[in-house]
Amino acid sequence: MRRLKALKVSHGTWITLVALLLCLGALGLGAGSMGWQAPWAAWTDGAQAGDVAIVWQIRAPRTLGAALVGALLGLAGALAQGLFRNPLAEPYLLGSSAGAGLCMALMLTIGLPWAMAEGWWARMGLTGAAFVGALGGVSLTLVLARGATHTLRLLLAGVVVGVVLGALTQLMMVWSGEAWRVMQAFMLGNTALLGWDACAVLALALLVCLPAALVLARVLDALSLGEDTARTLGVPLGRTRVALVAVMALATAAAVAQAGLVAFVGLAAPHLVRPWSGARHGRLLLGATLMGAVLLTGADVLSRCLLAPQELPVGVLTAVVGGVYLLLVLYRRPT
Amino acid sequence: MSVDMAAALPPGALLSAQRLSAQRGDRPVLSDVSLSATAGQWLAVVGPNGAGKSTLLRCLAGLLPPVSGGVAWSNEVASPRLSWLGQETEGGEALSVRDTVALGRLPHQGWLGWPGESLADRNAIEQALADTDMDWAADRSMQTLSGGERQRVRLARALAVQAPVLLLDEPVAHLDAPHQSLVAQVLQREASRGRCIISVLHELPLALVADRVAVMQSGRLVAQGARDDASLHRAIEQVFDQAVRIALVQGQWAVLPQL
Repeated sequence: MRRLKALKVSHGTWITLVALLLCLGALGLGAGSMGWQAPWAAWTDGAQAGDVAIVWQIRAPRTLGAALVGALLGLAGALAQGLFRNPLAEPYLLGSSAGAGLCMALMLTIGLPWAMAEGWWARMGLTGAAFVGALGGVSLTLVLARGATHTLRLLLAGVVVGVVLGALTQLMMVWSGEAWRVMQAFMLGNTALLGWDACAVLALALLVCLPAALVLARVLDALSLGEDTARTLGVPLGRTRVALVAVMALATAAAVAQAGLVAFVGLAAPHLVRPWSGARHGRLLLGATLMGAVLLTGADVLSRCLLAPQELPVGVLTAVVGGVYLLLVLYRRPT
Repeated sequence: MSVDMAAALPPGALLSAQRLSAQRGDRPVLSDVSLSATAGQWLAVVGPNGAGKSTLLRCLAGLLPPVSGGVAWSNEVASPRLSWLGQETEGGEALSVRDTVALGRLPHQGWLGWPGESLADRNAIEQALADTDMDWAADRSMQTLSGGERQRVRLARALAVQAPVLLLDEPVAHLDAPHQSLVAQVLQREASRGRCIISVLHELPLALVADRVAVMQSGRLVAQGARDDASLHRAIEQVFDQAVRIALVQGQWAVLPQL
């Protein structure tokens, strides 16, 4: 037993180590006169002012932001899978990402001056709008699927909501040229525009969502035994469901509002970490958060390398890789 | 619909169903059922498929609101009031056996499960695992167990709650004969410790080990009585269309199939 626990700790440590190495690698990647020694040079006055600015004002917030977006999506995915007792649930497939995107497009269309402004308050405003949209999107999916117990119905309802809300988002963008320009990057999922203000919003969201999710971890454990059993164990299902959906929607909204629609990280992170973390949600939520950070930081690094010197939007990469992964998961499921 | 109607409780009863009626959709599945259970008593509910046994248990647990009537609980019943073992397919297949049983202690820890397991929790978990002969598999994943072993873990989870009232829907489903006997002994012991046990059973010989037996048919309670009651035996034979006969064999009630 003690050896088993040590093994699990070491897996957590490995994931953290990989995340840190990826972050360091990401700091050294990109346009500029410096190579892999960029982070060290920027730290030790061995670089020109322009290069230092590239590392600290562009690469560092982008890398940290990617890790935070991935962490939030991994957490949201683990919450969704636990809450709906469905291993294929994730924010993107549940329509909450599409809902967040639609509300952001709405904000950009009707409230252009402040929504398009740079800075902390504009970010917070967009995140708030995305939160409302994420809640609306997942609620619509659940209503259409008549609950979350039927996997196929849930997936189909999520696809319908995603397509319809996506089409409405496109419609908004057609109305407003400015919104079109801003939203294009968001629709594809993009980490290139993440700055320190976005990092602050993301970090704040993670600071709220992760502790709240961990507090509710035992409720998710009880829910895995079925609704009747959870209820007789004293879990107030109605209230805790609302709390869990709110935490999931906030995590999704914060990620979408900063980096756009990044698919499948929320699906893959809990799946990849479950063999190591076990099924108890305390460890699973932490593990999925770390794994999400690793996945998106890795995807960000790859998106910069694959077509260098051009960059691939990170959402395109996660959609392609994640789509294949979803197919594999579906193929392996017995029913 | 009042669920706490303690004033209407018969003397000595821990809980009492009073003129319960329930529906599934538009179909009535429980009609005017009144039933009481006292501390230190094991009550077995038997009847053919579709008789309304599980519905009665869900109404007693407060999981299904009745369309009329109600369930009264004695004010003396301490919280957590009940342990539940339902027929629903429980998930949590990836949880370990111990983690599954430990969830039975959630009512003692608050539903957030903080600050964690106390010594009493650990003792209750170990006792429940030993009672169901699953202590050898504590660290194994539920996915690696057979159907009968999983059922024993679910029963262990229900026992670990250590509530005054146990509502068990087919607790010995999928179990082999030795483990059915083991569970019967555990339930008898729990009853002797003052717990009130109401269990739906399809295994008639096991039901005739319980202190009292209630017989249901077509959503109605058609008979109830002590296990030695001859009129109860006739009622059981009747609801099963005389396909079984109850006889005393070597001092124990046996249920003989009529082929």
